[in-house]
Amino acid sequence: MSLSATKCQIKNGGFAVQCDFSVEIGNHLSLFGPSGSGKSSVLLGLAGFLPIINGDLIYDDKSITKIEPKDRPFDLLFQENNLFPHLTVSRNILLGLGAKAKMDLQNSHVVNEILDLVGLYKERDRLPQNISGGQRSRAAIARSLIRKKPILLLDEPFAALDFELKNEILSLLLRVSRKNNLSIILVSHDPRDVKYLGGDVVLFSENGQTDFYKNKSFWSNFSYKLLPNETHDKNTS
Amino acid sequence: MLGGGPSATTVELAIYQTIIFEGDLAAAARLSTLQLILLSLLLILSTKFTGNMFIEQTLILKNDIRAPKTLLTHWLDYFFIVLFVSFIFLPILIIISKGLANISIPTDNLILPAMNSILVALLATFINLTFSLPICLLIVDEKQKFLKTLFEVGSFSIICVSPLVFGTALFLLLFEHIDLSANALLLTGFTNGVLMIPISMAILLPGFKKIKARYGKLMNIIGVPRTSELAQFYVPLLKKNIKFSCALVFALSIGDLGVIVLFSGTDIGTLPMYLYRLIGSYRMDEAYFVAMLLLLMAFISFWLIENGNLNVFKRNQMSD
Repeated sequence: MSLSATKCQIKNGGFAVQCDFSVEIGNHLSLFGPSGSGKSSVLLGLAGFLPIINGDLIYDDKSITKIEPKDRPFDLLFQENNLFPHLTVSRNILLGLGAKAKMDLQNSHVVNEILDLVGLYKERDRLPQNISGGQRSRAAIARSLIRKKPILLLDEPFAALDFELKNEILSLLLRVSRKNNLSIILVSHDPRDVKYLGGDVVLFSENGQTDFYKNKSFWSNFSYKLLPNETHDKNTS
Repeated sequence: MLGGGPSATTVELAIYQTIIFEGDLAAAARLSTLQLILLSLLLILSTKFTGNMFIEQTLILKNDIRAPKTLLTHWLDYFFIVLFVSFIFLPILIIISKGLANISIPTDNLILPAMNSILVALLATFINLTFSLPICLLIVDEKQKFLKTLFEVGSFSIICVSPLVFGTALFLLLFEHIDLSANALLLTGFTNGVLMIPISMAILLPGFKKIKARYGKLMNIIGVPRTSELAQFYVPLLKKNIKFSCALVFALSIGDLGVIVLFSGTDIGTLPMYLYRLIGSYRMDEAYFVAMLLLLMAFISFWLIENGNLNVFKRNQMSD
């Protein structure tokens, strides 16, 4: 099973960006490039919030270009506001089972299991404003996991977190993605995130051009330029 | 309606007199149309000057329109603030002092008009909320820009319709079918509620837009049905704004003489109508007391609704 964008042109106001890629379910993909190059536009286009004016988006051999965001095989974590501030952590996660899902015995069991997995069981009755940024990110991930969508789109949701916390969350995501055969498509302008996630890369240029690279090919071409210290350390050790 | 003679007559008053004293419904309809045209022209004119007709946008004070501070402008600021505060508070102080001075005067049948006023205000608040919440949702959910603007402009245009014009329309529509006098409170509450939609929308719509911008995509991707959006997300997140809107509509309605004069006979009346009759019969001492009572009812109800100490309200409001 795979997701492929075939010459997809996504329109955001007066700006259009074209991309071409394919990702097998279970593998990951990074949309990497400078700010303002159209990475988030592509992500919003995949999710169904921006129109795909040319090309086709294929999942499991079917076109999903025209279907509603909620019916696409994606869940999406935004840069901010991923949790509703009037709902407790557990109620926010319960939303993943449907807007009208009740906290009955069965659902409560499912929610508690996920809370345990992301290490938030003790915080289940707290409101989002009363937990830390890292915990909020984990709660949003928990809701995504409960939805059981095969692809998770991340629009730099951990940008506000410090490097260590970001790595901790990414490591949690990689762990659960391996367990649940989940694909992650990550938007980032930080090459360290791209390296940490692994997977193939769509490189965005400032002029709106995009190029698709397999993981090895990307790092053999850009490793020295993007992560000079790391490359230098490796060469000298 | 409080006096002034023919030279002080307005179109509003002419409509009232045409229905009540002359019973000429065709003339009332003509005058109402005239009033509607005049107000629409004024609205268009104000749009021309302000650039838009939306109250929520005109409330935003931009830094660049502030004049540089000098000693003269500083004192001018103080002067105008004191002037406006006096303009608002002097009549209130006079009512309270005169009301307190006449507190011992026995006033007949005061409970019934007071209860009727509360009933009208409650009804107006309910009707207002029932209309303005779904309209706000419709505006923020609409994807087509043209329809979005049409809904927004259309709802705010209600401000062109004066209570007496709307009341006259209701009067003409219903007088052959229902007993207007028996349903006077219902019709007054309905009229007040509908005509205050632009006020409540000016309070609620910015909040709706903010929530849509922050959480619209999240609701969409989770698959929240449109029928659940209002109750599950917009209302709990906007409790503070909703309470303020309700408090304003309730307080304005409780003190409004409004269209009840068109529908009510001599037996059913509200407190403002009772006050109007007291002034009309020159029973000024009693009028002072009733005016004070009305003022207190408006203030207390506003405070109670806005500051209703329910835990759920405190917890669920959206922070800016």
